[in-house]
Amino acid sequence: MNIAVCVKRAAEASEAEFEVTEPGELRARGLVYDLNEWDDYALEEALRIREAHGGRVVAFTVGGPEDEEALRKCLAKGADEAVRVDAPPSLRDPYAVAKLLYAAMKKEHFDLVLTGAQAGDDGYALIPPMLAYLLKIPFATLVKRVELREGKVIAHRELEGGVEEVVELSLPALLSIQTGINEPRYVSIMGLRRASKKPLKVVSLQELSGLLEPLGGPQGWIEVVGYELPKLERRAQFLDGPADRAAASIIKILRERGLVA
Amino acid sequence: MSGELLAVAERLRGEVKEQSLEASGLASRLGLKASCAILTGPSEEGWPELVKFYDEVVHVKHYLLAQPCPVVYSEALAKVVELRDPKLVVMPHSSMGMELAPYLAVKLGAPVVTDVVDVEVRGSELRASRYLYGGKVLAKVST
Repeated sequence: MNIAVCVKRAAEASEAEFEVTEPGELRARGLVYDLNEWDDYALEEALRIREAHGGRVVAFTVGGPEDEEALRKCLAKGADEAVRVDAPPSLRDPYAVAKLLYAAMKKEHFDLVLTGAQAGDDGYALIPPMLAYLLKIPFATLVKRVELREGKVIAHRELEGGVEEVVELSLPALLSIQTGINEPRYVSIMGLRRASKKPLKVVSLQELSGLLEPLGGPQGWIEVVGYELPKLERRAQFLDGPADRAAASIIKILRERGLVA
Repeated sequence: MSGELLAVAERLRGEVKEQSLEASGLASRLGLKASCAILTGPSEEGWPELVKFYDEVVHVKHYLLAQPCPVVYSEALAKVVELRDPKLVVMPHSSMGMELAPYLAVKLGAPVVTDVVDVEVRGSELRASRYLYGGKVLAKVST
């Protein structure tokens, strides 16, 4: 069972402070970078499947040398190989990342591709379905339990309102993993030090150009063009005047928001 | 801005999701015609509440659409998009929408933004607002 795990070095912002500067740039203080939380669960699931069924686990990321930190953590936890697609910050749009991951893993055969359900910083949750489309393999997102049975994977999905959906997919397949599916293993500082000496493969855009060209190159689709800091206070609108005028205002607001016809 | 907004409606436990109705308000704010698509199995009736909110409701029935599956749903929706050529397709950021929207976008070759809380028109382009960093920053995204 060969498993690819897609990971990201994500920014954790619970203690961070943000400021939007005059030219509209975002300045952050106190961001802490680590292996994306959802990806940690995906990696753990991959390691457990390998322990039960054999095979190997290869971790992939897209980014610069600083993003290798996430791959080192994967190696320290037990991944067999790690691959970084060397890409500039302009190619961190989700579709660009999905294309680069596709091109990097296309040359090998993986029975299972695991990703986190989303990244904790941007939260797009776009890459898993995009990558499945490009790889032309079945997929399921928000997976809370995985069972492997005779060439198939049974994925238990977490839906709204506590509903669980069970889907059966033929292998190869892609699953995006939800937090809480397992308990990710702890990695010691010594383990991280040992992992820093393990080989890590870096793939250039040039090496992937043959696969990227039919997809229109490595470029993505979307661009963040501005930032705002949300106001903290709750917004309340008081409707003054007699009841009939207030009622007419309420109906107008509800209509504007599409809540009544 | 002229053209059509196509909302993909979704139900949960028999009730049309609130976001599926709110999209009609977004269409009128953007100056777009409000249309809605529903995908169901062959025996299911239309969802009458949608007719009150949308100028047009497209009901696609097929036995393969009885259960939501992003691959099959995107096949059907790609046909609807091809026929109607909407300016914007919207759907709830739900467990179904999170699977369907990115898959459909790559199939159509059309940009996609998820978890959107607002859309505005800037000249000839649409700008989507969405939160980053657990709600601490609101980003304006251009396609």
